[in-house]
Amino acid sequence: MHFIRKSVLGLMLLLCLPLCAQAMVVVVSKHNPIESLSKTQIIDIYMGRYNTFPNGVLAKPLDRAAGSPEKKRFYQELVGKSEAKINAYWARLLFSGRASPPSSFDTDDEMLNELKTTPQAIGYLLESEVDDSLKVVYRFEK
Amino acid sequence: MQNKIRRPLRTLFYLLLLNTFNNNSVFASEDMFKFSGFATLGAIYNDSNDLGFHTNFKTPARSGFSFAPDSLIGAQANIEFNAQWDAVVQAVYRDKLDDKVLNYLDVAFLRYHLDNSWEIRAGRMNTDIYFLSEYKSVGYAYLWARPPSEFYGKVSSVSQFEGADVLYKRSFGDGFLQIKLGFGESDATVATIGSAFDIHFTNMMMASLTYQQDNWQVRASLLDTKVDEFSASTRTIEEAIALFPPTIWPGGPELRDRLSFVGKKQQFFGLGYQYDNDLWLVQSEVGFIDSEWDLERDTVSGYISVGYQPENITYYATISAVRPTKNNVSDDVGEISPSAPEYAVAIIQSFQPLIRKALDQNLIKQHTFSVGAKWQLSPSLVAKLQVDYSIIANNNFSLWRLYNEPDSGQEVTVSSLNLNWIF
Repeated sequence: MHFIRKSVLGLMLLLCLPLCAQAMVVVVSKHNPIESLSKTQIIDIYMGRYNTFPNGVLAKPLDRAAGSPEKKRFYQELVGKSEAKINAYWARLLFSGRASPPSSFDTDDEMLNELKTTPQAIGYLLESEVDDSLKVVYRFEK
Repeated sequence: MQNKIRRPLRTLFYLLLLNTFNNNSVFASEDMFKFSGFATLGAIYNDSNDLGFHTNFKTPARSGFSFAPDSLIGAQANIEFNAQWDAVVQAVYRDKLDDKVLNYLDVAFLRYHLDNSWEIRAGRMNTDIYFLSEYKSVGYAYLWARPPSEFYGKVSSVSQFEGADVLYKRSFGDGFLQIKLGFGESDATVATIGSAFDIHFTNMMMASLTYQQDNWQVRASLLDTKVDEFSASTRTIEEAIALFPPTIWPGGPELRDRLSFVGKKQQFFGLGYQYDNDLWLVQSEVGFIDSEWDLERDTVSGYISVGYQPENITYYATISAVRPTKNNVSDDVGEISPSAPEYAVAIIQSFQPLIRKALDQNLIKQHTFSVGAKWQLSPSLVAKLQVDYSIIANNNFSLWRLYNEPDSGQEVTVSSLNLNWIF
């Protein structure tokens, strides 16, 4: 029994390694003139405080699929909140009419496609998911 | 004066609605409209036969088992015309006292983003004077089965207004500061221990300040308004006063002025604190109502709630209380002329119990202990179980509706189970 538990833990660790070892980065389309953002500026956009980039251009934040490890990790690293807390937070903002939540996608491919083809889109990826069509504007320290 | 303000506001409101539902707008695009909604299916059991429970004065009171007080469904459209202009329309179907279709619209406003720091809105909006001002219909978004009645019951009578407001927001220190100023008016159909009546609040001025940093948030707010229409008449007393000229009853006109609502200020001051570190949650608010009208007694109210959220279940306990701050409002009939005939003196003195009854009909003094649990069943579904035990002081039943003449003091338990969705 003890052996099985250890094996399961080991397997979980092994599966987690590729994800956990990589830094999470915030990216925009390479056509976006923004070169870098501070963590506070990312909080401003993702938590609905401002609906524009610092240069005044409308920002379109994108979310990973609900319940995905990337989404959980992003919000933990950004504001230290669980996904359930983030959902409740956005319910408050949305239904008070203050702001609309980031666009959500069922699959990562849909989200990546939107990110690459929309100049005002902003999203979060693992470092390995970034390609030449995207520009890293913030990197979370591991 | 009131019509001068109300007509342009109403016109703006209707124009906004027309504009909002105009799908042929030149701005129309795929991302322009976003639709969302929320719903609560809630059951309560109120164990009192004498006192009817309602969440605020705008909803009918219920005893025994009922789905009516907490159940509702809401739909919202967010319309983004461009980076500067957007609009929000929110309709909520719930149990309520009035039958005006327009009052199912909680929110319908047009907003202009002047820049990143300034926003201006016009239309119908939630009155932003306490923590849950703008989302108290959305059970999914907060901890309890419903906001504590002691604090929210009375101020919810002005939960929406038609007018305009200005929001200023900016990063300040390590946190985020928001200041809002608003002006407008509001209609409400409300009921306390008596039957329902219509009330119109005019010259509503609102100010709120919110500061949020990491895990905590503080807010302060102010509402200043006057009542200019009130369908619950004090006509009986006024007609009685008119029977006697000031030469017989010099105190009559002064008494009439005391009981009249015209030109009397109603003010609310609120302070709130919230802390949430993802494991522990503390929220507290204190509110003061200062009224120049004797029939609307000054009150102080507040609550403190503590939640513990180890996993998908949050356990919480709340203590809330409300009490009048002016206990000795005089029921004296005032000066009667020494030359008044004996029969007139006797009649005038007989008004005293009527005056006392009018003065005491809105008294609220009670406290409630609540315990509950909130389950996150799925990312969009939350269940809540809550038990409220209320202790009500002698003849201070105004948060309840009277079905039978209650004993002097009362203890009531309301049990609630509800499911809350967002979609």
